[in-house]
Amino acid sequence: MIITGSHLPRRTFLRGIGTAIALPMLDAMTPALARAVPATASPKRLVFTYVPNGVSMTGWTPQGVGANFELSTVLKPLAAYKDDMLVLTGLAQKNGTALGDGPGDHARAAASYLTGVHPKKTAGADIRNGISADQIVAQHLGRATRFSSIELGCDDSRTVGNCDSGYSCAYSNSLAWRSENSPMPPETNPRLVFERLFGADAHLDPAARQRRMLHRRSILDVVGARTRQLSSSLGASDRRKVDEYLHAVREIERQIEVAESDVRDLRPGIDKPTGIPVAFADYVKLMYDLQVVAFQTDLTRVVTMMVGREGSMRTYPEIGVPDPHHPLTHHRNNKDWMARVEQINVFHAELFAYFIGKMKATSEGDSNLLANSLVVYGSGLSDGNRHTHEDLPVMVVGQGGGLLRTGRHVVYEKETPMNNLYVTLMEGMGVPTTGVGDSTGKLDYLTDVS
Amino acid sequence: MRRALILLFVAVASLATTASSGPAAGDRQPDRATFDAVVKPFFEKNCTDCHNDKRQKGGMNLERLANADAMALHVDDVEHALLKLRTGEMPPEDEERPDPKAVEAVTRWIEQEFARLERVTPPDPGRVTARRLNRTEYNNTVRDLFGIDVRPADDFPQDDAGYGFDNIADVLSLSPVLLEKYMVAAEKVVRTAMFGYDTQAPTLVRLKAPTAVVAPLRTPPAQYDTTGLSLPNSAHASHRVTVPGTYLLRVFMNGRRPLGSMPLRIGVYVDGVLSAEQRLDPAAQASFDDDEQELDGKTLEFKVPLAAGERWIAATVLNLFDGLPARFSGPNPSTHPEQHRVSEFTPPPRTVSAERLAQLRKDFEARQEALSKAPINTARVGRLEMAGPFEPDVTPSRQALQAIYACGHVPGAGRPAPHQSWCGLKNLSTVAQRAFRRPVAREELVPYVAVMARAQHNGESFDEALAVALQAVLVSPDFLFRLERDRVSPTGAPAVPVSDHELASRLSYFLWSSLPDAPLRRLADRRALRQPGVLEAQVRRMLADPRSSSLVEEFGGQWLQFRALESVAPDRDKFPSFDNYLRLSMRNETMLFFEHIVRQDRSVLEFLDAKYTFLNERLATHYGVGGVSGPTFRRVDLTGGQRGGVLTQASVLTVSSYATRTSPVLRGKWVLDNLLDAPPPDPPAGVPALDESAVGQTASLRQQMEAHRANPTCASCHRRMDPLGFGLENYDAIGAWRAMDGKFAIDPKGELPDGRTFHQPSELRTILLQDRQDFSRALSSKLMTYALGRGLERHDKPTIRGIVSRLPQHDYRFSGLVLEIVKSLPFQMRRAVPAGVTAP
Repeated sequence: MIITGSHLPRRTFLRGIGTAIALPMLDAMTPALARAVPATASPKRLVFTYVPNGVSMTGWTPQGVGANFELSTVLKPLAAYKDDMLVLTGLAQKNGTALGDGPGDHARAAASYLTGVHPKKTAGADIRNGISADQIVAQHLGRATRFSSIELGCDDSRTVGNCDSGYSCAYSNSLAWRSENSPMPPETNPRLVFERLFGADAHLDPAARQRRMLHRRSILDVVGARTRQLSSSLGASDRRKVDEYLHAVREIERQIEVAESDVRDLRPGIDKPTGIPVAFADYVKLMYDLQVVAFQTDLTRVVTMMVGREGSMRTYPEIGVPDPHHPLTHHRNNKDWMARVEQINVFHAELFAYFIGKMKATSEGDSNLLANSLVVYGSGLSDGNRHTHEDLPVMVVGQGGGLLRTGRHVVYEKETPMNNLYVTLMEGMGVPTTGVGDSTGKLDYLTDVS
Repeated sequence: MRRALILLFVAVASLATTASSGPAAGDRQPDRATFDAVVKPFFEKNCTDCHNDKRQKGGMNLERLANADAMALHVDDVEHALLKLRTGEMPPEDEERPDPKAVEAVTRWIEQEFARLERVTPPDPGRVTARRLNRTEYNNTVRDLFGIDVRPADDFPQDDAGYGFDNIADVLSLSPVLLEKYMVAAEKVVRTAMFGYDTQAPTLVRLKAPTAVVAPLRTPPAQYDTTGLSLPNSAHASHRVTVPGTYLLRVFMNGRRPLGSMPLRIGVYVDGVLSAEQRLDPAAQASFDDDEQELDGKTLEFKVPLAAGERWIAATVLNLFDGLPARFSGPNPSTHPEQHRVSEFTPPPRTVSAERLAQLRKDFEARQEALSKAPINTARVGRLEMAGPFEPDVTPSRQALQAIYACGHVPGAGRPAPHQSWCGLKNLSTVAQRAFRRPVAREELVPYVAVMARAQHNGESFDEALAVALQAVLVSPDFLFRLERDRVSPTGAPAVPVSDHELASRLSYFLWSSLPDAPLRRLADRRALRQPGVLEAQVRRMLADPRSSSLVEEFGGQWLQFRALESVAPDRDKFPSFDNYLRLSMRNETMLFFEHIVRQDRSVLEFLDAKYTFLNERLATHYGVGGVSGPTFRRVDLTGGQRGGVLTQASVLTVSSYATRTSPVLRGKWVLDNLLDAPPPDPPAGVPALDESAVGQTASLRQQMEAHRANPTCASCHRRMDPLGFGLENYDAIGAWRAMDGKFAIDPKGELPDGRTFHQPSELRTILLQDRQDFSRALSSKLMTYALGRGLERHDKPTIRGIVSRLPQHDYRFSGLVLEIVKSLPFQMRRAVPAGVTAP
């Protein structure tokens, strides 16, 4: 696809055709993209899909290294996409380990997964983590899209009581952290995700919608000014809270600006969900559908999804596992329990295969959505029984617009930082970085075979 | 050991009185002499072999306490050590037992040193960060501002929790997603209040209504629930209605009915009251089975009017065993003519071989056999769907309009006078004062008035422009955060009282999770809140008010953790009787019980043991309690039974179990965490397996867990946890009584580390009542955390101790506890800022 300096306004296109189709990036229409995105391809997308409580590593790790590897039991559901995946063995998140803080591996696993930072152990006072890789990318690339990133989750139950051993629930509930104090809690209701993407006031006529936009700006002006005034007179910890508010105001103002200059008539191509589907498989698939739609309509390019929050207690009677997930992973080498954990892992992989299938089937320019994306699938724990944070189950699917050489199983030296993967991906997306967490540089063997 | 305990109690009691006085002359120095003579040698003899600089077993290093002054630097460690000494967990079982007199002397020294340290530390009310309204508080606040219950916060992302509660200031964050939702919510609330509900197309949702397994019956029982509510043939759902109106309930049926039965009667109950009824006559459609009417896939649609709020919807088969063919001898037999099924074998018209004939005859007889055994009660409700609202009431509520149009020109009935120039400011000012929970100066309102003016300038009507300005009020940080001003103390004291408005706000969010109402506000306006007797009167008024139900749902649901009932999923194979009706009933029992203690101002010790509870028929059957019929909850006397207090309520028993079995460790931990303020530390990594399949088959759960006691490292904590859990083993994972666990009889005996034993659950309850100091401390700490919105720190200990010591004076009444908290230092005061820092 060739990007030219001039472009046809999208309105031209719309006036010609009045049908409801999702708009792909057509050549003549593509505006000169924001400087951060390389000008030779469709925009790259970055996705992190997280599964909780670790994975049965005997079921996950493939036999064989390099291009000739055998798909393991857990990875078999993705057989059709073997050539698109890079299974990485040996990566570690050192800052998820105790390092003297005692128990709390689930909270640490989730908190350190994308940040590479050792989170502060606190049940509430003074939460402190780090900024997550997806948010670094979002802050750089997000200006080009209405939503700089989207956070999704499939655990719609409320947490009750204490979460993990002296750590506030904030650590195990969110993957994305905008700053070291501000988690980005995921959206768990598909109806609300849809409404966010396509507007709750889609039923209003354009004039009414315009008026509402105007009012929102007016409101944001007032409350933004008031907050700035307030912030200057507050103590440090109060100011931190209120500053989150200010940042949010700025972010929404930006969204409104982008939305105003985006005159496309966005049609989702799927019906508006009515709520959370009762069957878990339907729920997760719907959330995957919404991601694909968000990419197709270019409303965002960065998505994180937690298939379950860390420490998830979900039961899976539909696949014959009525036991709650977390206690099951403390199998202590009981063969029956280990088999059930593996069943859950396979189930999650099947649902993920659905997602990858959809991405691959979505054409984009002369390629497809998957080829232009980097989808990382994995968990912050490997062995849920012993709470290990090394030899993590990780795979990247998709080539990221020609960045990765996929179709291989790569084994790294023990304790290679997982964060090195993020550095590579970020640079591949055109985001300059000085490092993430305890990263030591880029990860070899991803972009070339040698 | 008992003597040691009595002496300890005496020591603590004397501390309670001495701790309240200020520093004495001898307080400046620790008692070094006794430390060197008694404490240090004790540590060296019994502790520092394991807990020294090099080994630091359990992360504890007592070698650091080289002299008396070192205590002040390692208070947390010493406190930990003290707890272990008092309960007898340390030194471990397999070590030489120290002389009880020495233990006594050491603990007394430590406690006195703690007390001294407290006396010399200036009182510290702590500091609460700017506290964002959580979801419940947002919903309740907008409800009480405008009198409409739209509940927009149900669409907000979940609030993160800390210290066990979701209203902790430091943990509540504000992401851009949340601000987007605040803006949408403000629009929705203001527009619904001013212009009525937004007419949108009705939506169809499938209700979450998991059903139980129907055990097949072949003859009608002598007695059964004719409403069908407690039978497994029904489906129950809890549905939140935000827009009142008419809803369409679609009921999907399953199962079969013997041929010749009368039509089925399907009933729809709303909140336990029969709302609609329809007949389903499967014979009207052709069916395929010789002797049965097929119900699968048949649907019925009911139109039900629903008010806003949480509604309990149930669809049942009424009089399930009525109308059956006469041959079943059930009540009110069918009047349809007996439809003779083919009862004799007829050979086929064509000639067949003798073998074939014999086979056909055999098949026929087998079929007759099967049909004669067919159950008669499989007709059931399978699934529920709800569509709506149809015909919603779209006129704006009168109450809401009056709240908004303080100028008096309320639109609607009659022709109100036109608005004057002062109307905009007046209306905004009135709403803002209530929304911001404090007086609002005119200058502060200027930007909001400007928003209104700008909108009017762009062509909006007065009402539309006012709506926009009100939305800004609801998005303002002054609304979304509970902000308290930093103040300098005129006397240089470390703490200053919060203002009357701030105190009123703290009070209303504590007891109602909502903003202060008019009477409370007026007292704050007049600065009368702290006058003698006023605070007590307000607390009592507020506890008696229906809005105090938020204490039950929010505090109770998180302290007793019955909120977790929303997401428990007991294994259907092991617990076929668990359905939504049981789940909802369990939750209701504990909520009514808690509410009773609050409204009737009962002693909080009744949480531990009470001779009553609240049951409906479903739950009573589950408990094996007779004489309770119908879906309504009523108070039931439990004297002479095994149950009493929260520990034997199904809600608590279920949330402290796994989906597939009970866990004495989980239950013991639950008791330690929530009732005794003694949370156990987490287990070490690499714990060996529990053979779950063997449980109940080759070894009882208890026998399997003996491994905990065999290993001294494990025993140090499990000696406390396991007995408490085993004492409750008679209650299965969904709270029903059982005498057997598989092949093994339940043995509920237990022994606590201090030697006290019990042989049945009621004796365990008596023991817990003996530990009422611990319970009082647990409840006071948790309620204080909830009230303040921050975790408790060391400097709060004197406050909690004081409260616990004064509870007996209130006869342990709930209002007494609340009053103690409301009058306490951290609730009344804030840390003062040093002079020279400007206040906003």
